Amino acid sequence: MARKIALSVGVVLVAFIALLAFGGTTPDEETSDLLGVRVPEVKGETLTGGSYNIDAARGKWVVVNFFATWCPQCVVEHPDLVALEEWGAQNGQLEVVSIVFNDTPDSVAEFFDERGGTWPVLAEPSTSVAFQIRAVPESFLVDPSGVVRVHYTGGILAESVITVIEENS
Amino acid sequence: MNTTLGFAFTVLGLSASVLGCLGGAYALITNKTHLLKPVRQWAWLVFLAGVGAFVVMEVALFQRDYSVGFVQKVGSDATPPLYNFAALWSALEGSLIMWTLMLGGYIAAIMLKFKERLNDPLFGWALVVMLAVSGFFFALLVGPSNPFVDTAIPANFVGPGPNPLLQNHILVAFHPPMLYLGYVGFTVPFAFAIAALITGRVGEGWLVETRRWTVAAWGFLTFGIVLGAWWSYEVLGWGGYWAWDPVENASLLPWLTGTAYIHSVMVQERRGMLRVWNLSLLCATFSLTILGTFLTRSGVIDSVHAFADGAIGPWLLAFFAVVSGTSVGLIAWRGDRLRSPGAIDSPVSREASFLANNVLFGALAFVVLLGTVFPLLAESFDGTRLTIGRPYFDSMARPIAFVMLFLMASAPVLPWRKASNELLSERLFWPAIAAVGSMALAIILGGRGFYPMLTFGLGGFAAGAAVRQVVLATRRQGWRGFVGRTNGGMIVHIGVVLLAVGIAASESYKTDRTETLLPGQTMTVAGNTFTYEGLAADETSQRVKIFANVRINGDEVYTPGTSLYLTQGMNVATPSVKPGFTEDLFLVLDQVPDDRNPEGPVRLRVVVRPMITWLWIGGILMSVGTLLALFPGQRRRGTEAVSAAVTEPVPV
Amino acid sequence: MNSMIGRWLVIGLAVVGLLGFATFDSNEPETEGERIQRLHESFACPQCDGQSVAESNAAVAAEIRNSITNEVADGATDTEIRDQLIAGYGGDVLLNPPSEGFSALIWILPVVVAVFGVGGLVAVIRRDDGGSRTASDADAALVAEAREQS
Repeated sequence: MARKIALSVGVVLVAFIALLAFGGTTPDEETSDLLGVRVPEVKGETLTGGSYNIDAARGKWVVVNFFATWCPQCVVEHPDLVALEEWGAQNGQLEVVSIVFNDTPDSVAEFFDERGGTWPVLAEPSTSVAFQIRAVPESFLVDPSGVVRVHYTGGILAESVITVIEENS
Repeated sequence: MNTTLGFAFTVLGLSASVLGCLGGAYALITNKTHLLKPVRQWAWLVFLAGVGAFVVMEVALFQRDYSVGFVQKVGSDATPPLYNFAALWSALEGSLIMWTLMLGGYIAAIMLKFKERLNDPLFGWALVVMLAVSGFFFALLVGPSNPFVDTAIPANFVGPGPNPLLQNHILVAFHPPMLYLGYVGFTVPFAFAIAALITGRVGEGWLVETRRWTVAAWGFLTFGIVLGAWWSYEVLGWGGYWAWDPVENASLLPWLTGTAYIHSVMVQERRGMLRVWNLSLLCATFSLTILGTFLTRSGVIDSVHAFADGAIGPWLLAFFAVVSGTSVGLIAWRGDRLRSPGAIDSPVSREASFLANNVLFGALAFVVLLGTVFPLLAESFDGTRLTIGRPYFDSMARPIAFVMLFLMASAPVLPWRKASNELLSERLFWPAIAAVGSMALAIILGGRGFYPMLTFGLGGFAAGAAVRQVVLATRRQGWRGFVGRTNGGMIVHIGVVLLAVGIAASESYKTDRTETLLPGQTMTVAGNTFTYEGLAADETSQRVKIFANVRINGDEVYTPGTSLYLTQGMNVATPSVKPGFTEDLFLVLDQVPDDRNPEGPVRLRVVVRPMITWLWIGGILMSVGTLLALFPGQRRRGTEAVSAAVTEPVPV
Repeated sequence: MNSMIGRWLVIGLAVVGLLGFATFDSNEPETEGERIQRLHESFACPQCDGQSVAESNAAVAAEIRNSITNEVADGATDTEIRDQLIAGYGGDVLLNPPSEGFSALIWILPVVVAVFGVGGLVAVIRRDDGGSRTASDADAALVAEAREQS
């Protein structure tokens, strides 16, 4: 009896050890599964009182940026976003929209006063959920047909965005 | 210098372990008793090596000797002495040094304890097993996670210091060593269990020999786990104390099987039954300490506070395979001799209660293990990623805990063999009154809800039974009524009841609220007012703490904040707790405050937890009870061993 | 004998009465704050390995808390909120694993183990060792030796 039980325990043990040896949870995904699919809904009231809907920007590229004023890398990437807004305003090919990530409207207003930029800013936490934001800054480049093309984490570079747009047009 | 010396000690430990282990096994197999003497010398050298490696590393930490790889990793010019001392166990390699130190200590202790019976083969095999275990850990130190690597020092290096979470509370100095004393302590009964299996002397002798060692290891583990929960509550700033995180589960698993063992071993001592089961529990307990170390140190499972290092993962897994495989193989080999001779006369008896206790602890251990490794299983099976979190564990553990509380009330009043209804009625009367009384009291004090009330009722019932035993014992024996295994055990039970009540009240009646406050504004939570009076900063060479001054009920000021640790550039929340016997007020800032804008808002989170202090008091009482249980108690009248004997003569 | 039964009847009634009172006296409808707290406690923070979004200090947890609070204010049902979070962060935002497909095993296995445990317990208690009800000398010696050494 004891032998039979020991034998079955042994079998379970071998399977368990094999699982531990060859299994393993993969780390949280670095790449987004939004790439190549239609952009989730981005709409709502902007902090300045206007209304925004990304569908209205169909025909243009859109940078969808997630940021917070308390995040150091967001401060670092901000001039690039300002540059992208200017570039887009000149040739009509690109728009920028930002979504606030866990922050207060007052600090955001102050942030933009201090660092420039006039693009629409939304405070819609459900948008962050739909885009699976884990940590800011994250940005997505959406093409003129409304499909997500590139995912940027840890800061965006104006140059690389412009390169992508120029290669694809 | 430190690198060479330290490495020399680890090599010494490895060689002495291996030589002692092989030499001992050879002497015992060939029956050459005179060859056992050098084994003991090797064993003393293992102790010396453990102490040596520890001392060298502490010296290196205090000298800020950054040429030592480990010191470069966790040392810092700015760390205060206490945390610098504790930095040794703030990362993987150092915690292995602590492991070898403690194992060496236990080896030395059993050699002193059994100095009259050093030539007994049973002791010899136990020593061989312990040396094999120490050999493995020294091998880790020599090979894959060598802390004494000679490392080039970068220019102007001042060191990062330990993880900030491991240097802002005094409990860090006590929680890991206690936990490790528990983990490592289970090596002793495990070694004797294996020795008993090898020699075939599976009778009761070895059990009694190691009983106190097991109870002591259990006590350390209990205290270590409670201190860990306390530390988590005071430091981590998430408002709780137990998250069912893999690291926590890894410490709970051996505790559960160990608890099952210290109960069921009494059935074996009194009735000669459950031999296979008890051996299996001891082997499982030790295997689970190794498995837990593997799960949390190999990075195979994500965890908030694992220090993952892939390099030693395969080693630990292989060691787990060897330990558990050897145990199962030996038990299968000796299975016939282990056949239980006795039988249980009645389901209403002490031994039947102990069996039920074991089923419960076994089931809980299974659920905890399943929940911990299931994400791994699911992902290997079909790639599903899932999280097994608190709701799952809570819903599984809750019913088991209730039945355990019930047994804690009924088992201590039950006699061995068989109980009559009259006897039960008489002995359970006052505990039942205590149950009704505590429920009534809880309702008068405003307690509501099914689960908490059930906890209070069963808690009163169990506490009543425990108090009854201690009262009867002290009436008979005076102060000796507090010591000994039975009476000490009852004190432990009272501790468990306080802990259960603390958990039930602090979880069921907690209030958790977050509000954004401007200076001068007040929030009210569960009848307490919290007035935000502005930001302040406190700077040391190590960290800058920015905190909010929050006046509670117009009285004292508490200071939840965030600390920026300069060397790591890491921001950690530092909660502020106002403790109390009726309720704790836990304050933490939900967002890093903007110190450039002192007039701006802060987000203050307040968690009010009633009676959580009783959880810590219960934990401390459990440790006190364990200590009392270690003292020799009153000799008990023996119960006749009603059993068919294992008549086969015992060789060796 | 009768007084014994009467005594336990009274105790039993008191226990049922107190438990019942404590259970039903507290049956107030869930407030919005309690609902939000319950929802917060049922989702995992995607960044922090199994902590719930209610507990975690991570920004993403705070943002999910904000999102849940907004959705509740907009009148979303629990299922809608759950589906929205799963659509975003995937099935592992649920702290409580779903009870369908492979992951149903995590609910089934404990039941199987419980059945085996209780079955084994009953079997051990009812096992008859063939009528031997007196201790052999060897048994008595074992117990005596054990006691001596303690």
